[in-house]
Amino acid sequence: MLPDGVNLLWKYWSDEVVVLNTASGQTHLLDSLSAAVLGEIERGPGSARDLAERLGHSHELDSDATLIARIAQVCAEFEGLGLADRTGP
Amino acid sequence: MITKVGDLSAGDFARRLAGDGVRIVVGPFIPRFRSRIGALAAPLQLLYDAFPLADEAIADFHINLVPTRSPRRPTSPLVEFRLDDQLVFIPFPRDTALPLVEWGFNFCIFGNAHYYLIIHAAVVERDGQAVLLPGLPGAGKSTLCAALVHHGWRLMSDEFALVRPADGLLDAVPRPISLKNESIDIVRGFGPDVVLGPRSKNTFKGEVAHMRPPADSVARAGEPSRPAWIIFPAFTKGAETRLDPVSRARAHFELASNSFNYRFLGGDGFRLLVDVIEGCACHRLTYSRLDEALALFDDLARGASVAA
Repeated sequence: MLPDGVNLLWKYWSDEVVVLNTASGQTHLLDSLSAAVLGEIERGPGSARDLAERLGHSHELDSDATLIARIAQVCAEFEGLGLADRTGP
Repeated sequence: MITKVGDLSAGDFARRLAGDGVRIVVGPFIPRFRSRIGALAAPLQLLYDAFPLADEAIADFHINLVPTRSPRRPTSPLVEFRLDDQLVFIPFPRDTALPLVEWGFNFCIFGNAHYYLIIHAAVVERDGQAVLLPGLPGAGKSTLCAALVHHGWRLMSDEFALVRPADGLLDAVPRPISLKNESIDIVRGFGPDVVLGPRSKNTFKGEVAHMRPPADSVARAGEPSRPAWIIFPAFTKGAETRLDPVSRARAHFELASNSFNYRFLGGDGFRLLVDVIEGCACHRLTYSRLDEALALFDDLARGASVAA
């Protein structure tokens, strides 16, 4: 889930995305998968598996173990950047 | 009629500097320079020769270079930079007073002019279209800027791209170009029309000298320009000259990192930077030969295809 107080401003530049976290003032440069994951987190909280399933529907991706592992890794990076909070163990 | 700094006699300029101060119109800003350091007067007048004197009493920045001495080393002459009578930096060696004026003036702008989005970049202009040259120290930004200015581009700034929030245009603040170490002799070699101030050795940036901005650039300081290119210079010894495209996302990220007040402006800064980048072609320039780099910029101005 997004941390309390975090609001995001988005700019899609071709296949890369720039996001401003207005709470921290930091700007982040994201690839398309990371941007899609952050977009799903912004829409609502969920586990890596939940996010993979939602992305699978919206982006026609196979929500397999590889994608779930990649999303978990991206979420961990977002957590370190203050862009996501862990909702469960 | 006295309208410019250069119209004053050397004695009159020195007396004003030591007295009530000299108010100078520098683009959108009016600094009031004061100092009792006599040795500062001549080089300051030399570098600001073409700038208009401001006749009104109001100034944006009240800058005073105050002579002092180290309490622990009383024989070491120092200089304080005071803004609105407040000490801004720890005192500098007095023989670096001139660079301190410029660094302190930079501080005045990036610390106060939050009406603008301020990006750390040199800016030159031709035919109403501006090139932003953002660069970390060592990237060759100022040397390239000096070369372009000597090659017919208008100097808008050696240090700041001032983006206006209302229309996204850039305001000019054409000040002396700060040159460091090897760049000083390179720029001196451009020709006899290049006017350099004195060399200040042993600053924390090494040896520093300033190139006087062309009178035409100073006279046209009131003309804004539209950002058209963002060129990230990367001086690399021995490298072949090449221009590589940079994605707009990467340019956005790097300019955000190179801005003095982007974070301070929040969403407004973000949207303004998006507007700037949407109107620009973005490249990274790797170069070692100034003549080849200048030719590339000529191609840019002519609208030629220059992408590598």
